[in-house]
Amino acid sequence: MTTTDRTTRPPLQARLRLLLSQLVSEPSYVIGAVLALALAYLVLAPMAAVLGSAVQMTRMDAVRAGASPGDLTFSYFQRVFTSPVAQDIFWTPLGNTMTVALFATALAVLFGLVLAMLVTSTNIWGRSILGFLLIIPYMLPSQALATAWITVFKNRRTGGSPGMLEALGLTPPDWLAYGPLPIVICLALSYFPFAFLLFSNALNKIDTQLEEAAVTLGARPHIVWRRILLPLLIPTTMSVLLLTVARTLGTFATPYVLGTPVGYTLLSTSLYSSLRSGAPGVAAVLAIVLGLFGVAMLLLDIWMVRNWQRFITVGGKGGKREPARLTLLARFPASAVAWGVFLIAAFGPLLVMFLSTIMREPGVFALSNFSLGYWTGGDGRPGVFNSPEILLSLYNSLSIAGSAAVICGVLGLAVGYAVVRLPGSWLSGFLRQVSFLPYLMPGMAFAAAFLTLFAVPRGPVPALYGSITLLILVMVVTYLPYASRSGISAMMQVGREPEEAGMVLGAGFFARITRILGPLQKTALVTAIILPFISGMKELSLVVMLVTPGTELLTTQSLRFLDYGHTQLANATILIIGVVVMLLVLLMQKVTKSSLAGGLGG
Amino acid sequence: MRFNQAVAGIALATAAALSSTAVFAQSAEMDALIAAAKAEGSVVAYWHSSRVSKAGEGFEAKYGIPVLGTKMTDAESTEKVVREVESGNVQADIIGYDDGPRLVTELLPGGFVENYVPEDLAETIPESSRDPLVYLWQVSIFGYNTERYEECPISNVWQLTEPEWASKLHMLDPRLRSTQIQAFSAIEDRADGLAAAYEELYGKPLELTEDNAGLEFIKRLAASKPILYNEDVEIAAAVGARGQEAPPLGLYTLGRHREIESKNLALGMCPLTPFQGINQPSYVQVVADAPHPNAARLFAHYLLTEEGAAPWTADLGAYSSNPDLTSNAGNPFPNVAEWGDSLLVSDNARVAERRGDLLDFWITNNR
Repeated sequence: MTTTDRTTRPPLQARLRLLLSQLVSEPSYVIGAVLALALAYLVLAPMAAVLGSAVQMTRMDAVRAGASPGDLTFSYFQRVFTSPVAQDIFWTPLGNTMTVALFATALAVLFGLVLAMLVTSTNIWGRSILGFLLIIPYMLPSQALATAWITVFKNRRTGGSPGMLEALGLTPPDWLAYGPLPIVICLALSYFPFAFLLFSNALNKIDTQLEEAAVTLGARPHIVWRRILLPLLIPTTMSVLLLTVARTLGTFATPYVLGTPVGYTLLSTSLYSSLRSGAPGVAAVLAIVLGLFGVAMLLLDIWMVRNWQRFITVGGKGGKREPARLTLLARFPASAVAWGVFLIAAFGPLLVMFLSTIMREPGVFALSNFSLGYWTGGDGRPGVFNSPEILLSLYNSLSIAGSAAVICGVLGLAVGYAVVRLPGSWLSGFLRQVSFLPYLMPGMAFAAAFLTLFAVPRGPVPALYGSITLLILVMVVTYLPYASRSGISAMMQVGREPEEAGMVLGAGFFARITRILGPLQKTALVTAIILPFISGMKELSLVVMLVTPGTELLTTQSLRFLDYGHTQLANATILIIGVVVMLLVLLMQKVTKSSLAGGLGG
Repeated sequence: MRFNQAVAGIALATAAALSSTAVFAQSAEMDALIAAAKAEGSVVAYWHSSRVSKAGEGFEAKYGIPVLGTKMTDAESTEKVVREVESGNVQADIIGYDDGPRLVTELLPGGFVENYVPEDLAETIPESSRDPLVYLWQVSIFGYNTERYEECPISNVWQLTEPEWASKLHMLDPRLRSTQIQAFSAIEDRADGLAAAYEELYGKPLELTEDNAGLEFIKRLAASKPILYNEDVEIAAAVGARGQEAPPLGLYTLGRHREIESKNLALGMCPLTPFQGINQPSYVQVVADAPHPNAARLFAHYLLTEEGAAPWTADLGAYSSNPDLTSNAGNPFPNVAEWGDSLLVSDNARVAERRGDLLDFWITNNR
């Protein structure tokens, strides 16, 4: 229907009439156009607003310079790139960001690949349960590992209660407690599950006949890996690299918790302190730089999808791979590696955080030192279960992430519907790319953009800053990629035929949606809702600049607790998030009978 | 500066003697204000401190006028008030505000807010606190660990720049907290005092590598890499935690000493020359074209009375600008005047002029 005959164009009037009748019977154009407008406003307008505030005088600076607010200025660009403090605001943080992103990504990909190989292709002990256990770090908010690290390694450099090691009499040196080393380790440990999931997925999809053919021809296992399997994993590796780099670039919590005490600044933390110190112009310039990274990632992604497609054609449905039977000598260390990563990345941090919440003094393992005081209250202060801040932020997190997720799920399916029903049109391409852009945009950059756009009323849109609506909106836009991807792939699987059958029987558009597509897409809808919900529950970098007293979320509240030296309450808050998210994941696996990997499918 | 405070001290003493009669003399005007305020029905307050809700409860109990107080940062309230006044749709009646420099360079000259000094208190409140009207002073001090040291291990601020105390001063991050920059400006104003204190300590004159002794001090302080924080709760905890062999010194609000009991901290105040802390004013201003101007004025008046100031001044380290009011019995001095010039007080206009440069000066020397 979308292919118009270009050689003999009918007169304009006829074309318009045709278009109108098409629109009535087939509202996907209308849906597509409305979505495109909404996305343009919610994704592109914030970016335009940031560009604007990077070159416009703020009121404070205008008064000082004797100009009027809003005048064109390049002073913020100069300040960031060439002024005497450019080194501190931009160049050093840029170098640090690159270093951290490089090492953390390399480690995460390495962990992910090795673990995926072990879990999918060998008979290590407990491989089926490891498939779930190894993605637990993904279910924890990004500051979980950092606060667990601080709980153990914290030294006298920062105040509050002492770290566990220090309480035991060992004072960790600064380089181990704070700065680049712990940041890289924590980021690698929290992002490797991505790589693990995607590599496992890819390995399971590779046609085993290729390996069997090689083995029949006498190839040894390591030759099979080097010459067949690893080359086939190149496209996955590329997309894993891209996703992990995009995430590390925008990450905020880990460098904030572990970098600030020693003055180790990344672009994200520099952006945050610029905004906090009342320099929105400088913050806008930094957001632009982070945003450019995002755009570069998107272009790279488009290029890769186009160029690496040929590798994917191989992915047929072969038989399930027989796990390699390792000798006992190899089986033991291989199992130890996999379980070791789980212990360090998931079990250890959770245990440390939990322990810290039930011990009065850290590091004292006497029975009398254990108490539920931080949970139930007592000792003259409220506990987790009756702290007004935690209860409020729990309510906020659930309601904000919940409503964002529902909106996201519905929108995602709508995008899917429009993209699939309008194939080949520029509208479809626009929707696909713009709805995916937030996925690669560093969270801090996006948040800064939203703050700029909605801090003040613009036309009919009131100032949303300080309202729950803004938080819901920013989450909807940011998580739309998850939902729209799952929506697109779900809609692909439903041909036009059921709908056309409905049309023949006289079903209108809404009847078709509720009676035919709805029931068919129930599972996809659940995935498209739960994935954004999980992300919303653990979100920090996106919302840290947007929350105000009264709209605190669990994640920002835990950061607030950390600022005030209440490590135990911070940890308890993170544990709550972890438990909620794990329950959601289990629920999703039960409802959709699939694993998290299918939904992430980057 | 010193002269100003001396004048303030004298004014204060005279005012204290006269004030009781003054209040009664003005009561007819007060009655009129109360009546007008009651007719308006409510007050909307944008406040720098969440305790405005407590003050609001007291105000409503006394006058039957509810206060809708919202806590927000100075940046937020500035943005809101400017937008409201410019669009002619004013919601706010009164603001509580910390950023004096911004007040005197943006809000007051732009006509967004009006300074209102209650008539009956005009003589009582020291002149230096009247324009713009200060309602609250909060004291920050240098603190030490009383478990490890019997008395403060240093007596002169220049000792903070010695290698022995490198990375052992804990303070708020000047990149995040504008109050630190205001203190730097006051330090610049005190350059002569700092030069004298240096000579007194080391017996030789200070060799300047910067324009003045104040900048020289800031430079050396920045180079000695203090540990920087977002919130001063943690500073007090770091300084006062028990069982430390080499506890640091800290610069934090005196109010934190109220937690000595509840958190089992060992904290004491350092009497340093030439200054031992910072005195930070908070302002109250009536918004231009406020919908409830009389209720706003009555609330401003109420904040300068014993019960209206109590939500803040009942705690350690906070004083009303009305010198007749009591303060917490645990304070080292019963009122602001008795601290004399031992606290840094910045000049708003000069901070507004210098703060960008001072921040950059700090950043480049703190590498």
